[in-house]
Amino acid sequence: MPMKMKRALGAISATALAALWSVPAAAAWTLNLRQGVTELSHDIYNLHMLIFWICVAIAVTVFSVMIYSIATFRKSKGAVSASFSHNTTAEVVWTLIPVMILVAMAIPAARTLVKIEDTSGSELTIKVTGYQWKWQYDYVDEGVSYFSTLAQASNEARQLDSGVDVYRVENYLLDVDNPLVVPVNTKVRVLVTAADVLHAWWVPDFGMKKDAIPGYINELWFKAEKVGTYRGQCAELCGRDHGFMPVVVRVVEQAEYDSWLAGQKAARQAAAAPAAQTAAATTNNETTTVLVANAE
Amino acid sequence: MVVSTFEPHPATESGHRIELAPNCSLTPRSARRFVGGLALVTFGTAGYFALQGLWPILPFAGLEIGLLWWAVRASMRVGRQRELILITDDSVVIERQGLAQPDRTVFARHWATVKLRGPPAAQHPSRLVIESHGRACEVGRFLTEEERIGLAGRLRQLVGKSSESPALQAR
Amino acid sequence: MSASQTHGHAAAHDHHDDHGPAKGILRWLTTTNHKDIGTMYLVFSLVMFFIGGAMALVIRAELFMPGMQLVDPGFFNTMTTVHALIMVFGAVMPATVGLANWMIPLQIGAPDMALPRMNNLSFWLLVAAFSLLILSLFMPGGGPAAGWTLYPPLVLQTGDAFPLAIFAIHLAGASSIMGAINIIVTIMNLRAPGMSLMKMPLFTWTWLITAYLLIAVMPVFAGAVTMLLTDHFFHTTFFAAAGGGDPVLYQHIFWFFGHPEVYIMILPAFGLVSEIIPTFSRKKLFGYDAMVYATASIAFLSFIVWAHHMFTVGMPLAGEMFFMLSTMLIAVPTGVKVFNWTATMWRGSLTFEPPMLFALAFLFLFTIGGFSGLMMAIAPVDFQYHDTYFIVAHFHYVLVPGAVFAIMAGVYYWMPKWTGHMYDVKLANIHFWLSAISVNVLFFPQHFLGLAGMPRRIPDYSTQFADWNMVSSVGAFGFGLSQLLFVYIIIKCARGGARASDNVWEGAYNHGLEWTVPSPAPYHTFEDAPVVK
Repeated sequence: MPMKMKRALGAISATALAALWSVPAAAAWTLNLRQGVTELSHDIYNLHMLIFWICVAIAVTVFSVMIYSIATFRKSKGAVSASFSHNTTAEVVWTLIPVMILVAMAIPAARTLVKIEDTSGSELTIKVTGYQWKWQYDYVDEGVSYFSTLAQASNEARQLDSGVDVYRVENYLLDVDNPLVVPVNTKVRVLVTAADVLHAWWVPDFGMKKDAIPGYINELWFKAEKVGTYRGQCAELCGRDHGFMPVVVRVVEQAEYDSWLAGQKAARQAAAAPAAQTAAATTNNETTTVLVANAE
Repeated sequence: MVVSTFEPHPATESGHRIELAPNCSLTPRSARRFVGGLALVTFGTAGYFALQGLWPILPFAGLEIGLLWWAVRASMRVGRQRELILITDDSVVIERQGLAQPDRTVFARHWATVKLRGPPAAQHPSRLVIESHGRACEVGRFLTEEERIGLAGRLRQLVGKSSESPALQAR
Repeated sequence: MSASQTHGHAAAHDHHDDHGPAKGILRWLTTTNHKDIGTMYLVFSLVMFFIGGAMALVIRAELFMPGMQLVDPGFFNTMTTVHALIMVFGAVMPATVGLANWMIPLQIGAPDMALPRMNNLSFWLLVAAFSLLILSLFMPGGGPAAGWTLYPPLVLQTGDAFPLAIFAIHLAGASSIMGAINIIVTIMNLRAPGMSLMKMPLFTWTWLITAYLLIAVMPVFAGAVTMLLTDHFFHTTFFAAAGGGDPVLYQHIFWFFGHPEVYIMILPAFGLVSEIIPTFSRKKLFGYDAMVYATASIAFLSFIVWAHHMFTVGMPLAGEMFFMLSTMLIAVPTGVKVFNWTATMWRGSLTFEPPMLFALAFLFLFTIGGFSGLMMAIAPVDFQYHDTYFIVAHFHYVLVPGAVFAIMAGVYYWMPKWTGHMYDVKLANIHFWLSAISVNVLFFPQHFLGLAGMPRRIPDYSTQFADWNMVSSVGAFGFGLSQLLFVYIIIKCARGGARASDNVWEGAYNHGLEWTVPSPAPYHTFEDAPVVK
């Protein structure tokens, strides 16, 4: 172990400078929350910015008073201390003003919260089950169900001392074999649960994350407004490979979704026809891994 | 804490009586209220969780409040100690009260000396001792450092050093 | 020592029964002196600070670059878990207990703690607890790796380390309880006459409230980990969904303990800062009463906000709403404190010795941590922040430049009192600037990482997070190495240096009884020059 450590440390120091310069194309030096592609994520982003700017305003006020005090009331400048030790008016004012600011923050926050929890009127329901360390997606009304695990390339690269340059791996650690596919502009209700330990299903661009808990079924919803591939990760510590169970969602046009779903169903039937038992063996098929979860 | 009494002894004109007591800011009533308040909060939450089926919290709450109760009582028992130093023309009497066995030590005043010894180890309290002929009696262990130093000065004044005539000190 | 008395009255008892403390190592094993025990707590916490810090450096070294270079992911999880347990229960809490042991008796005019022997026991239990915890790292199956929150069902997958770690937590908890009981009884019962509650220095006040919190919540934690133990070994199903238990209920009781625990770490820091800022402003603390009430309200609120740690577990809307609003309320008393500290400096006469520098850094950086806390209180936004590096940045801001800086400020403030020597102020200033800069390099970028979407507790990350992680790791090593200077300054000061006067800090007059005692607590014989007050 020490030898290995030493070698790895050497490797780090050697590549450190190089890495500093090879700024990757991916969103480097990102500072802020992303706006995302759903109504909720926009709302959350706006709320985040609102509170952020309120905090900045308070910070500027408070910090400038502090800095002014530090700069002005210095003994070295001959400042003599005053003797006051309380001022009821000031104390009442700086208790009440924060209360008012908090109320101003609470109102939009409460409104957004209500919206987040309203899963009614959904057009598609998907059950997501967390496993150590993969996700199972279950299109409840369609009878389509499959597992989604870390993509092979990432999985090879992430092994200890794999020697693979992770910058060469596309979407390193954020790529899966079988992404979740959903139609655009559709209110999707996601039921989240877990089979073994806690997990949390999270796609930052959808603004939502919910814990996956054995014995519980949690709900969240999203309605993606833009076609694209959105990537997230398991957000609740779930053991050794917690960092290696990404969430990838492909948002496609309705027509593409329909044909994808038809393909899934066909493949599922084809797999079920020869022998139901062998279905489980098709694990790493790139496009379709069909698991007969609710065998008829 | 305290040099709580510091007055000429009414019986003997030249006598002095110094009473020492440890700090004890709780009264039995406020102690009960203090422990009761904490017990209420602790058992309240433990009881609530027990109703949810999480009964193993209760015994820990019980243990803890029991320990608290014991601690308060132990501290208050210590707080009942008193040390009385009676200085008359010819004797220095040290009485200890409030302990399991009260005791009493008498020194001949002419031979008694007051010594404030430095601590045996850094950061430890100093020790105030009245001694004569190889016998020694420590007083004011429960005082704070500055109280003990003050008391030492006062005792020296009252008891006098062995080489001095008590009459000079008695004023 | 005593000869038997022949003076007619009762026999003279041996009032001289012990000859002072034992020598050498035995002295430290058996001491009941509050200063000795305070010193031991502080040294212990410093050792733990370095052990926990080394674990943090393992974490930051692995996260320096994307890709797995140094450790196995399982070991990485062990590091995050044990780092947190050590820092919370082994470094920050014992440090504040050490300061309490040293200073509370001096501040309230008591000769020692109320229960000196229990004081000794509680310290050595803590040593036993952390020896066990560190031992558990070497058990087959690795050390505890389920996070310091020990959430089931994951924690039940821990290997042979599990019972050992639970036992260690029990011991640490017992030690905390004894320490808290000792402190609370000391404050309640051993105050000098005239030292009414509303005259107590704020450090003592905050500790009184802290001890209340500890006593109120510790049984809950002890019960919680005991149930984990029985779930694992005795087939109970308190938290196992398969057997009708409820894994979420564990989170509720953990955070019912855990949130007050957060304040157990920060309230004494508030107290320290409330002592230091007035001294170096040469002005009385602004709004003493308000400070006390604010501390008490923060403590009270800490009991009704716990579920803001679990907004994503799927609570009912009403629950989310309640915990969001109650959490936001905490900003009010916390704000009062920050405003009062600022008002204390207003029209003061400020100087900037090392304790003041650390206290000022606390003021600024803790406030930043407060802002991110307020942001996370907003439940809808927390659905994005939760379990990302944003929360990591937040709690490290309140714990490192918050609690730890306040503790360092306290050490620099009272060290001359403890040792009788002035430390090397120039080095202490360097230590301050190195720490203050590196701690921001370390933790500020973690805000960005969290907002960009990096989950916490992951050993490896997508390349988009590489840049800020590298910056953060550089800061981590800078901060870690800077602390070696702290140790050097302490050792140097303990061994000698310029004599410190009784009122080391010019502004320290009238701030608590401790400054009326000679520094260090007297040591030579007073045979010649009794000071009569």
